[in-house]
Amino acid sequence: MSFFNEAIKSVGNKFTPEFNIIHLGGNALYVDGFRKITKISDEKIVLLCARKIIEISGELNIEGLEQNAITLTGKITGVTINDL
Amino acid sequence: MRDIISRFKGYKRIEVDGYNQSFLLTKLADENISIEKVERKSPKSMFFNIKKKQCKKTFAILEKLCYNYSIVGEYGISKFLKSALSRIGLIIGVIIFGTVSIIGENFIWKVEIGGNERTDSLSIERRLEDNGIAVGMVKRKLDAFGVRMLLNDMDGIAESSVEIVGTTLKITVFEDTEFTNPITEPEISLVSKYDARITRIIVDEGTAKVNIGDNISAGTELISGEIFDTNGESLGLRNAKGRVYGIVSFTASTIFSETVMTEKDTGNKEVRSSFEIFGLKIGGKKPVEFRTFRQETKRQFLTENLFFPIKYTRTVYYETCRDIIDNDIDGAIESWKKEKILEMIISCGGSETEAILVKTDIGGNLTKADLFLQAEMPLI
Repeated sequence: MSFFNEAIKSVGNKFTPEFNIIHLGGNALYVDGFRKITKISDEKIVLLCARKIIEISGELNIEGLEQNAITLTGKITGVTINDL
Repeated sequence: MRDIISRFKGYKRIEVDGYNQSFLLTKLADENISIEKVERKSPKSMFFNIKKKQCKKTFAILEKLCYNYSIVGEYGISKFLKSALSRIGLIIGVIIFGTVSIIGENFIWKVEIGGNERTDSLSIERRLEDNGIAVGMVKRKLDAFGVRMLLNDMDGIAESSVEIVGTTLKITVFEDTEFTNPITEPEISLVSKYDARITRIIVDEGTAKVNIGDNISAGTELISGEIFDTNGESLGLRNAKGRVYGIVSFTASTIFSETVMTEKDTGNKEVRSSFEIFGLKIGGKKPVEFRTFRQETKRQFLTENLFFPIKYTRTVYYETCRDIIDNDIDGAIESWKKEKILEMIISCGGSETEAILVKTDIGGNLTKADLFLQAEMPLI
């Protein structure tokens, strides 16, 4: 039973999320469901999803990277989601 | 904690040179390669950790994409064991040293003996060794009380203390106090201290040189240390011992006056009080007006326990004047006679045998008293 499935259930299975983000109080960020990393720098990481672009800004470290999932740590100052 | 766990899992840290880092990371992630601890050194260079079992696959991708890479670190239990194996000698040495130290703590490795001046340390060590107490002994088997008793039994040792300090057995002994008889010169001759007539002779050792009834002067030899056989041949010298008594005569004379001048109080008095602090005297400086006086002074500290001690002095001056009174000559002479007899008995140890007192009026209200005493007393 995953955390994301529980969250989807709680809203009545109305959505099939393209991506999921867990933001841990500005110190860590977990993103899954992205397709690729389009930009990487110390201040900004841009993740590309199927129909969205996620821009994460701050003082960032890539703590872990797996297929479609990334864990960032550091001082996360902003998460912006835009349509593609 | 995660760092420690990841280190034991088996990771390699690689440095990758090449642009488009995001593309490479995405590509590696797409190929199911777990990437950790990404550290970007520059837009062209970055470091990250990959699992050891995914190394081949990762390197193949990197080579295929024309990225240069190098392994900069390796972590994991196998690496740790390899590293440990290369230092196996040191590790074994440390283990052996630790083991020996721990085991060695339970034994006595040194015996220290102190406090002995006359008793030889070697004889103490032998005494201990004979009873199984020596270097290499197990500490907990040592009976300190038993060792103490063992040492206390030794000649010349009055008491001892036994304690274990670390791996050292410390023994301190207290030796008997050595008493030596004072060296005395043999008295080969006993002489008389007084002029006397011999009354009794008791010779313990030696030969009497005087006879009863002899009149001798001070310094005469009474008992000689030399002894003789019946033929008069000398048998050598001994320590002369014995007692010789004799009648000794003493004389004493003094002059008494029929009148005596004394001092008596007139009834007038003056009081002077003063205070003294740190040697500074306040008051009591007014001179006494009496021509002749006697004084009584009392001193006391008023603040003895304080930092500034204040001393209080009170002096009372009593005016005196001269007074001539009649003297009881007979009483005074009798007192003087008793005093002289007592003096002779105490100082010379004699017993009074005869006392003759002669009083002579020499004029001018003066009387001369002559005392002649005879007593039997020890002459030596």
